[in-house]
Amino acid sequence: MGNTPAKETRSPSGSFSKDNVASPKSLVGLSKRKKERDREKRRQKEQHMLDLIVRYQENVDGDYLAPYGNYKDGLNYKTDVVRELIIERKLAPFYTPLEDFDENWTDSELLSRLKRLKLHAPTSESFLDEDEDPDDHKIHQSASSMRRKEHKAFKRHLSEMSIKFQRDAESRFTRDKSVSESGIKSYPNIPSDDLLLTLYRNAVECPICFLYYPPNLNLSRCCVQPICTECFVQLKRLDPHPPHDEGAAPNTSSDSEKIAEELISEPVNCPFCAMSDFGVTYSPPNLWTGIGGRPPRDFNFIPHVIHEDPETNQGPSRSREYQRKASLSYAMTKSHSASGTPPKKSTIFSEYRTNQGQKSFEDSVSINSKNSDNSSQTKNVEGFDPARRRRGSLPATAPGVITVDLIHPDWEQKLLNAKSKLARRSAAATALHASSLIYDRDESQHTYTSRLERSYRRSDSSNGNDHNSHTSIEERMIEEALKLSLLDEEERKLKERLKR
Amino acid sequence: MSLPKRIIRETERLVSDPVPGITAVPHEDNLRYFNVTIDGPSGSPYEGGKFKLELFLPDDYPMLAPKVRFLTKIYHPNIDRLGRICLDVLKANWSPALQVRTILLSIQALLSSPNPDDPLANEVAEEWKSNEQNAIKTAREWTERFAQ
Repeated sequence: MGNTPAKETRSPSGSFSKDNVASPKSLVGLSKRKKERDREKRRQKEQHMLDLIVRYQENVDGDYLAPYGNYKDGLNYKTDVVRELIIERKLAPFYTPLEDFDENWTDSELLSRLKRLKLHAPTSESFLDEDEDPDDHKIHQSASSMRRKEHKAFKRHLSEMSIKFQRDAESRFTRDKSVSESGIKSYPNIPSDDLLLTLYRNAVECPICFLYYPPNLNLSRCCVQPICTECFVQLKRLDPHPPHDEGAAPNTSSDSEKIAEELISEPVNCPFCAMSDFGVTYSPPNLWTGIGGRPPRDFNFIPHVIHEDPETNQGPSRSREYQRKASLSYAMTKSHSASGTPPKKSTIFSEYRTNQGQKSFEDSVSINSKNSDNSSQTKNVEGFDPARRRRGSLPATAPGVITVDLIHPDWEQKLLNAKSKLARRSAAATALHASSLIYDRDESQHTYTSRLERSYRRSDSSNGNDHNSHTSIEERMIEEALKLSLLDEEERKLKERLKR
Repeated sequence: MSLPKRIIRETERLVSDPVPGITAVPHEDNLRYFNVTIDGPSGSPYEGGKFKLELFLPDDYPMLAPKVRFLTKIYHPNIDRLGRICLDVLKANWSPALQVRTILLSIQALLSSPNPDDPLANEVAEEWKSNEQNAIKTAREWTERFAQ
């Protein structure tokens, strides 16, 4: 009988005094656990914020592990997963975008633009909203308003810190860059001019943000369209919603529990071809600088390769410009297939060394195919258009495919939360409905009795008919209570599973 | 807050390479807000009409669809009295690879092919299904009355 309508249990005059006494104790225990959970959440949020800072020392193949900041919001992807994927070269690094690009720019024009690039888009502090809490003017603030305030203060603190950290990282980058340009001292993580030019010489436009990036962008698994990592991490499932009735009769509110069960959360469709369960593949360029490679400072063109290249025809009349372009194309050829398993580092370096010798283009390509598990996809490596190298689509489960759900794994929890929220609401509504039935019945028979009296009378009612209807209502209430606790249990289990 | 490059570029391209029968001009004081006109497609009951719309690009654009609304009164089963439009690409089927240009083209196409089976304006849809000729006549009258 403990879980009859919420309204009555809460009312101090109710007949369930036992429960009322017991509840504060359980609340204390709960709040302790909750506090711990809150602390853990805060720690995670802090880590998330730190992961979003672009630091020039953390670079892979010429760019970074955190987004440039084209999007102000929606950075709630799993930063640890994405950083890991970039380091393993399974996802393109967050390249710094060029706002414009003209392929007729000379090297020095391009370079001067590249050198002016910042680590992060300028941040404005204005987006810290200063909305006042509706409870601000009340003398006694509710616990929830205190919590809201605390939460807001924490959020403000986080964004202030993130701005400060980013500013520090930026000024360090600028300082080290200018020091190494003046030739006083060189920093291993300041990229060489050759590296910058190699990356951006054939920049391509991301079809979603319209900014220019090095040509080795991620490719959609289905229709082989390029997409930059920053746009990719923005994609996520819509909030759980009822299924769109495809011509079916609209659901009436009669069965709200069913609606809760029916809530769906669908995988993201490909923005280009609308194929379900969007994912990308990435084939890293043959650069191997930064984490897991050599310092970006030391990257330079490999002129020897060119002389041995059968395609260049070796004429002495070939200008240096031509050689540079050819070597650049070589560097931007994919080092391995889209299967996402990077070749062992040692092979990469030995490959570099042999390239200094007499390895021809074809040879290095065949080495690559040997390295990869999936040689069928390396076949057309010689195509210099890296963005179109893979042909045909891959299933979402193929190795090397990074799906949206992989970097936004929280959708399952969200769906469950939404379901249980809706179920709880409908259960509460049913309970309310049931209790109002009692109310109506009683009201018609004893107009002047108070609710308190009613509740006493209910327990020792002598009227058989009345009693029957009460028991049936009580049964329904107990049913609802059972349903609720089952839901809670399910939720708890899922949470535990997710933790593991 | 500065305007994302994408919005700037889309606006430039809308001006430099306009879609026939469609204009979209950003507001001076808010470059995310566009005044739009769409000419009624020929062969439709809206032919000869010039329909005004407003279009707003939310902060999350292009991850979220633009918000579009008819300002001119129109008799159409998928457009309600407030000018709201029932169109899949404005809701669940929005994709960040779509653009202002493509959305406006979709709306123009919706004028050519009303879909009374997925109605927003129920009465109009009923009329469209039970007495199509009469519905088309009303749509033509409204076009002459309101969309000139």
